[in-house]
Amino acid sequence: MLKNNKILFPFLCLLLIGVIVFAIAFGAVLIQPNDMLLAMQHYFSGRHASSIEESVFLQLRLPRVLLCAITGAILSVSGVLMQGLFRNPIVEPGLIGTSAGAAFGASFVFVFASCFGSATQSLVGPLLVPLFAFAGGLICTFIVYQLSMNAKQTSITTILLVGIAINAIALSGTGFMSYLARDPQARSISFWNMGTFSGASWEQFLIVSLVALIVFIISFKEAKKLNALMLGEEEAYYLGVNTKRFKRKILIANTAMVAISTSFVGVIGFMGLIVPHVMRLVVGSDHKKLLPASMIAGAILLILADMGARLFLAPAEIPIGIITSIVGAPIYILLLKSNKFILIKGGLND
Amino acid sequence: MIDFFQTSFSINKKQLLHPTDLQIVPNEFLVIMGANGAGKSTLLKLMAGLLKPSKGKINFENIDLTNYSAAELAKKRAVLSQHYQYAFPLTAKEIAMMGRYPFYNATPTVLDESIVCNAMEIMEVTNFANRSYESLSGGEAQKVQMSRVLAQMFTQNKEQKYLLLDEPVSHLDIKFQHQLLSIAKSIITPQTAVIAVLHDLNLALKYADRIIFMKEGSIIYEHKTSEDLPFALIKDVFGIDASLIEIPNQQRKLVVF
Repeated sequence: MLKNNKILFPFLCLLLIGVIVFAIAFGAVLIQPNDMLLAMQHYFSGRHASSIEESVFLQLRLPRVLLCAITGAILSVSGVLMQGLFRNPIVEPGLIGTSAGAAFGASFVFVFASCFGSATQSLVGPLLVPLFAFAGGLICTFIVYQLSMNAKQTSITTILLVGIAINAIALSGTGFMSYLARDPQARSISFWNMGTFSGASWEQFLIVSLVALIVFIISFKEAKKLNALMLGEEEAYYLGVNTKRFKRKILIANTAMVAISTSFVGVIGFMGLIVPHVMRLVVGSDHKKLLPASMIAGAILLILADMGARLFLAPAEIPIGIITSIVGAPIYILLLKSNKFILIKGGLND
Repeated sequence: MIDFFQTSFSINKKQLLHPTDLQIVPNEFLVIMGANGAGKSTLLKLMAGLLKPSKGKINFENIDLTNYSAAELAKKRAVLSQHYQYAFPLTAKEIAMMGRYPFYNATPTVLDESIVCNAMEIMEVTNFANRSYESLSGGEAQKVQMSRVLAQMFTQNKEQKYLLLDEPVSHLDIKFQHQLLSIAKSIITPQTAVIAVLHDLNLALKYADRIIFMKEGSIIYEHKTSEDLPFALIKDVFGIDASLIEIPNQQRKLVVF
């Protein structure tokens, strides 16, 4: 474990800034750093962008990279939170139904939005998709959590098996929605199951980062309680944690941020698994260090993955979820093979 | 002071603890004994506030235990259970520091740090402060847990504090057993009591001031270790014949099964 966190965190922050600039620069249009500065200058002085590079930077590249960063941070922090809650290091939002449920909720409202009538659409239209995504994600996560908790002796096997079932239901639900949908919608629905940042906008970035900010603050403040929970639920109670209320709070907050980001960019698997796993090796499992480290590292990794998605088959784009899965699934299998994690009973018996 | 007033506990219609009266005052080492399923752990968990009485009530310093929040209770009592297994890499120091969680907000104070160092020194685990918990042997791991609990028990005020031990030495070798129990005994003050569930009658006779014997969810006998142990009791509680052997030059006797 790395003892010197004084070096680690500035290093991660610098790396993040570097990766952001790098990711903004490369794409179909190459943007020089001085174009970025000019565009900022023009924007803040209220003038219009003077070149195509500047508008690509402001309208497309910057919101995309920032949305990517915040989503990476969300998925990684969520992985840490879920692993703490299920007391097992191989849990992540993609495996326990949060993402798939959110995607189903989003696709449901996408297809049936017209049924809600134009009046409601104009009023709550922009919030309707995130709201249903939240409901879908929460229901699925709760079912997985409840079913694996009720078993007398809970192992990670139960969580994963229940997760598979719930994921299958949610995925086929999304599939059915895409079957019902007319053509242009259908395309975006199938993209939901694989994830993409191609539609990123400033509006999405602001909504997602607002929710993420609130959840990050809550979870960073609860780092101690998450640590205590590692000892087991009884021990956490003996150390002063109202475990029932705490678990509910973390579950809802976590689902909110994952569902809202999923409603905009789709399901991106394995991020919540890879990043916390690597960061545990670097900083250990103390959540006070693990949460911020995973947050920054997650942002860096997803920006890089999105660059891959944009550049590998340029000008075509690969769904980002495919890239994270190709990289993440083997790591997941490696984790499963070092089976000390499977043998340990989760702390889910209440 | 912990007072049980006709406290009972049942789950799924099965009564694990029949209505019980019990008083625990500071300055004593109380040991709870009995066969498996006699209700020892239930009694301890009720005391710790983890379980709520089905009927009757428990007063903690003359206030109903259910009125305390988890955070308030954590400042007044610490609990050590039998064994712990984690899926996460934590260092021994990080685990010991958890004992101070109820007392600080974001970062441990200098005092918290020194309390934890002190507790780790008492338990002789300072050497592996930075070692991963997973790499420790069963005995070492339990010592680290004990240092966590000792850190939680530390107080500067003259407030009452209780240390609850739920079969703390079941998987430890003989040296560790005696070390852990004598350290527990050493923290007893006019403000502090230790309550332990033990399986070994000889250990109990050596360290306890008072032993309560449980059978089928009831306390059937209270024994002050300064007095002689009624012989028939052992057969009644444990269901096995025993003999008492005199130990040369010592007041107490050894129980042999």
